[in-house]
Amino acid sequence: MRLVYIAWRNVFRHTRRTIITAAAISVGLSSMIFMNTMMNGADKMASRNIIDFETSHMEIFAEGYYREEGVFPLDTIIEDQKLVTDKIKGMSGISGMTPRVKFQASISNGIDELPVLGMGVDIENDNRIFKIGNSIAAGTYLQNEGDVLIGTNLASDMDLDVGSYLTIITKDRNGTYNAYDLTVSGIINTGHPLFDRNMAIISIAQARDLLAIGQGMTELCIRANDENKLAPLKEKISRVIGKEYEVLTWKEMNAAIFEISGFKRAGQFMIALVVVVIAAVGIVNTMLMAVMERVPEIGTLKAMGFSNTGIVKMFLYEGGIIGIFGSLLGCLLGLLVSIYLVHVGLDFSSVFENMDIVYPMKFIIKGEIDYLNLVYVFLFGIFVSIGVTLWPVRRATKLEAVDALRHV
Amino acid sequence: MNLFRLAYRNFFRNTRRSLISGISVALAITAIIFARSYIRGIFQNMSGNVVKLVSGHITITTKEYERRERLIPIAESFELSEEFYASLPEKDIKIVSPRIKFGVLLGEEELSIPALGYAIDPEKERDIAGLQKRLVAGTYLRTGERDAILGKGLAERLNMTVGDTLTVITRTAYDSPTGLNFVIKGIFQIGIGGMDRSIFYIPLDVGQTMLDLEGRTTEVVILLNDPNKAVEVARSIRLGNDYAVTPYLYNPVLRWVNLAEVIYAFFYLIILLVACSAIANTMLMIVFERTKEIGMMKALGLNNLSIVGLLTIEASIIGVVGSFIGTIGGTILSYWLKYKGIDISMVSSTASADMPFGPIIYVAPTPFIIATGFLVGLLVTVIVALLPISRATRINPAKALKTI
Amino acid sequence: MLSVIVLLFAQTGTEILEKVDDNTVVTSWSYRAKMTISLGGTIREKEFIGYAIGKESAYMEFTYPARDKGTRFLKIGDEMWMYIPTVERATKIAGHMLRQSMMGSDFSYDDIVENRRLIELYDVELTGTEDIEGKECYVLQLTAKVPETSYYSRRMWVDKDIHAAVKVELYAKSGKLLKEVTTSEFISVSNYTFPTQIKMVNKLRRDTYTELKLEDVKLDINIPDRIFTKAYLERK
Repeated sequence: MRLVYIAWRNVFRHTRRTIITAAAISVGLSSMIFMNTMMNGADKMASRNIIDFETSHMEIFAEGYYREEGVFPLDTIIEDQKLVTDKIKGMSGISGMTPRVKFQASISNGIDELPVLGMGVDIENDNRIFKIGNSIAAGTYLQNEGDVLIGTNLASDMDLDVGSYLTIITKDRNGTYNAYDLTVSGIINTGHPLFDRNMAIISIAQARDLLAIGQGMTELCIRANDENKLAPLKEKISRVIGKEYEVLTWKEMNAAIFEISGFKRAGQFMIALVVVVIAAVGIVNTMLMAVMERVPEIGTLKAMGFSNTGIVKMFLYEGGIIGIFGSLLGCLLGLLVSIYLVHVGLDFSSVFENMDIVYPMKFIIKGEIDYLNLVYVFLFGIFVSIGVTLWPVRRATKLEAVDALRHV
Repeated sequence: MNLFRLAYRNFFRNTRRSLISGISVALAITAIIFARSYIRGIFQNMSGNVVKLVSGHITITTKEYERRERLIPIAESFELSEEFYASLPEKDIKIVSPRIKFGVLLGEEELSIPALGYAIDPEKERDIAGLQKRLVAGTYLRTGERDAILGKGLAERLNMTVGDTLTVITRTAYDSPTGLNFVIKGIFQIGIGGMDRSIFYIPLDVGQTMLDLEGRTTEVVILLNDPNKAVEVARSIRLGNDYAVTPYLYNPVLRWVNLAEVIYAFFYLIILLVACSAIANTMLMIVFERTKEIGMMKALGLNNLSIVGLLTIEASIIGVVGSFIGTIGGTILSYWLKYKGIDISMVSSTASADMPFGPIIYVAPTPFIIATGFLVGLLVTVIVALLPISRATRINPAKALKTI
Repeated sequence: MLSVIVLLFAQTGTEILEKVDDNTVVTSWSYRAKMTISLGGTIREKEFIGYAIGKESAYMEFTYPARDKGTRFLKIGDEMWMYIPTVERATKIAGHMLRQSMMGSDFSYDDIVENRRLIELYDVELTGTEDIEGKECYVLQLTAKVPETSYYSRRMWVDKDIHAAVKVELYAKSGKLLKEVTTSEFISVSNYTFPTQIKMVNKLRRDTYTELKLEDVKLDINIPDRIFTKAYLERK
């Protein structure tokens, strides 16, 4: 333990050098943290669209309903909403749930008819789970039974505005044509292409009537308390509701996203590699110089009776201590910057400035802190510091005491 | 005493230290040059793919077609008339290639797999889409023949291979049912999952007959001699109000590429920052460690100005040497990877993402990138050394000497 | 006195509808048809020939224009196949394809495949009489009595003399008017009376309708069974 004490004092004997080295380490580490936070944030954005508009954290379907290619059959629906909700109401882990009815339809403005995906939502509840209500670009959310929400692109394609009338046409579950006249109560701009271009959103009561499905729904969307614990929650729900239903998490329904994530991680990895190399270089060379400059000291220490191992250990402790400082500083700095990113984010809206869209998007990437990664980075900093001290130290200690003294 | 000569000799007096410093500068610069070139490579790949497969340098469609684009309205076609070709400026245009995109349902028993067909001119598209280079099986399309080439993912989904018959059933531009039996001549892989899983190509003339669009097309894709003139040439094309002439830079897909570019530029700045700090770190150490030496020099009579000058020259030498080595290193690395390419499909699990780049990134250095890399190394080294150098002037010779 | 007699001989809605149904189901017939399709103002003309046995089997072959020539359809029961000459084999029209329009017209495939009698699908009420173009018509209100009807309700104007519908309005479940069909140029052969001119107007889209003119109608003829086979459909 004496060695540690000596190492500690040595570190502070050369304060300036310590600070410089620690600073090098901290810049490298905080950059790694910053990038990780940014990348997580960017990843989240894509996931956000899905979770905030499409599926929430997971959905319950009737067994057999969900198929990959987006067909919306009305014969395999959940017949009665209560059959499912009663079973899981109040289950811990669920922060909210809401039913939805999806169906293929077309809308007509009297002149043109365009195919759309119709969606019936629970007017009171849907906004507690989804963010459609926050994406209203003009008009208001659904208020009355005869209201419909459409996306900005669809509105412009069909020359519709807040207050316009349109007719929604579909076939109900028996194959009978049904059509309702609706009023556009609001135009939404979600940033999610499906919603902005191809969807007509009405109240679930209207949808059920339109499709003659009683109290049925095509899916029950569930929001979880903890986004990271979806698998166990899914298990729990599956067991309770039984085999006639299927529970799928948003990740399972969107495998493609993860492939994109793979690419992004690849890019991030390459960049992290570059950062690591540079940071390591900074540390190596200061540690190298530090050790080299202290060769006479080593000679003295040896003459005083310290063993080689002891000397190496001492230097390693020094490296470790500097590493700890650097890591602490780096992580702190990285964390501060990350917090800024999480709350304020980086504004890239100007990239979209010249686009000809009716309702321009704000494009802000907010960060997302991965605390586990923070720990890894911290430990990484320490190991690199120690590792990088090892080589020059071992070389230096091989010198005989006399040779060492001669270097004075 | 000639400062330069002294600096030069100082460099070699403690070669190891000088080298170490130089190397850290070198490595930082190599990294900067490589990183910038890699990022540029990604963008070239992305925009390259958009240009080749989606938009060419300029896209021409009718305005109605553009408006209803997501419905793939083949009825919104236009004639490939004399007047049409006459309104295209000859000198800047390399290739004019008509393309017809059409939606189909494919399948053996049940027509249930939605796919996108493109009727293209096989010969003209050799230099645009270049699909003949992306074949993983079989051969390319022939004009006039009922050939089809399918994306790898699509072929897998249909469970078909080269030689099999692909029955395509769709609607003509006049809403009548139509179809043809094609022979799968080849299978391609672009490396962009979304496309490989849902796209197939047939020859233009066969497509025109099948879709009842003889002599007509829904879009024309233009390849220019100089891509930088896209906006200018697009503006010069006078076709009347019913047409939409769009240079690729305004293509919505590319906007997302621009965004990614901005994000990556950010990361480049970070790399730059880290590199600068590594260099800074080195320079600081050098100066601070030489306190005694500087004290000694002062004791020997060198004035502050000379010391500052000496140290600055030393820093510059390190900067020049380090930057030079780094620049060479970065250049070699970048050009080598430009030739060889980096295959990122290995890093991501499958090649089925919807990102418009992949699978091989050709690192793309430019003389500008290399020159700025060198200058950055040199400048940062000197600038960063200035602070500690200025502090060197305050070294008290007596105190300094005492540390021996 | 006269009114009492009239009342005694008046028909109920059900009886009228049954007569209408009887008139539309012929044993076997062949025809040539000219179809005019208007889509938002764009007009296209097509011609085809057809054979049918009751509402069970039907065969159609397009003869004009050149781009459609040789396209054939075969219906047996509630299944339908399509033959495109360049594809050389039949494709079954199934599932959601049935909802698509046939040849771009306002008739969807399932409109054509539907072969049940109206009386089986609808409850009928006689709501009065009205004059259409000088002819006195019964006005019938039909409301679906089984869930699988395409059009939940219909309003029919049935010519009193010939017991055939001259106008039908097709409604969605919500009561929204979707299509209007008018028929004219009736011919009577044996004890059947049916229209040779049919016009279906899409009420939700401007300038969109399909007109069908039947010519050369032959009834009660001997149609060889082989015509209603896939082999015949795919013949060269």
